Amino acid sequence: MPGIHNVEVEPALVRRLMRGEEAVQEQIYRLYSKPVYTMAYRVVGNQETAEDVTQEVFIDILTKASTLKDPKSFNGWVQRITMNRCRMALRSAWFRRRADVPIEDLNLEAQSNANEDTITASKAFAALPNKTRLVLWLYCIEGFTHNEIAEWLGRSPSYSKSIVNRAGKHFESHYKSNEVDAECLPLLNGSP
Amino acid sequence: MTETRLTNLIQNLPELKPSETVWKNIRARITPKPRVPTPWLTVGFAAAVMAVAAVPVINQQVEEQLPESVLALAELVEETEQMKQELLFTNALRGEPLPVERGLMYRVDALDQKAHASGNLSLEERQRLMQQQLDTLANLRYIQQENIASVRRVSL
Repeated sequence: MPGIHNVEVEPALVRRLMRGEEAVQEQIYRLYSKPVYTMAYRVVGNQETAEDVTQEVFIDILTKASTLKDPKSFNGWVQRITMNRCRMALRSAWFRRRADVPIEDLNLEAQSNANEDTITASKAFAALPNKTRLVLWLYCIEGFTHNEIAEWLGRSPSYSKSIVNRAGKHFESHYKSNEVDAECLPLLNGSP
Repeated sequence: MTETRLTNLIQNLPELKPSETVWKNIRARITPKPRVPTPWLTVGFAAAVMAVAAVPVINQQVEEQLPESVLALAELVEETEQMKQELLFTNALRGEPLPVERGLMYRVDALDQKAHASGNLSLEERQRLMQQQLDTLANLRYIQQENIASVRRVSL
């Protein structure tokens, strides 16, 4: 799955956006909407907030493109805006009050071609704590190093490493419990 | 589980697509609003703006002759008043606002009083105060919408 940094965009298109041409706004949206929304959805864990985050990201991009100095840094700029908007959403008063409410399951119908491995990975990811999902996404999908993540969070690189490490253990235990469930199925079904 | 395996699992998660509503909402927010005559809700301040413009009513033809900065200020006033009415209506339906919402409302009131109190403010200062009001109202609206959504979700 490509991240925001993988999106291929022509510098000429970005320059037109920087000049304020409205005609290219939708093109830019179509190019970046999936990776931006996917990151927002996976990190914040629900569709409504993810759509709000996506809207705010694109309003920032489309109204502030003129402040960009170099079209080549467009992907990095979009990444930063998305990261900051995700973090703001996770910090919002509403989101903190939802701490006791389980993260809603992903719309697995949208992933009708998903295999069992993918479904298990989806659920394991959704069950992680908020900040872990954000750090893991930046590391595994957006290609950030531990040093870059640490600098952005204002923490040490070992903090980022320990988060990824703990996430790995969480995934492992999630997969193991799935294996146990699969082994137990014959017993539950009444066959030896 | 190795880091490589973890990374592969996450990279194999499918990409998701937002609904078309997202793009429609974005377009609605970034498309410039048409300039139409609107009855001013803040009469005193509107009168001051009109006095600066030296015209009895702002209509399409007159707008084209006015300086950009005056029109920008008039737009800010209109947008702020519309948002205030929207939030007052929402409050009337919901009842008691939360402490954080009350704090933001006090800030809006304080900015409003500052804008109206002194007759010596320049156009730029008035614009700045109106923009601050608008930004605070936007935050308040976001918080209100999130609170309404969370109450709805918990009651389900």
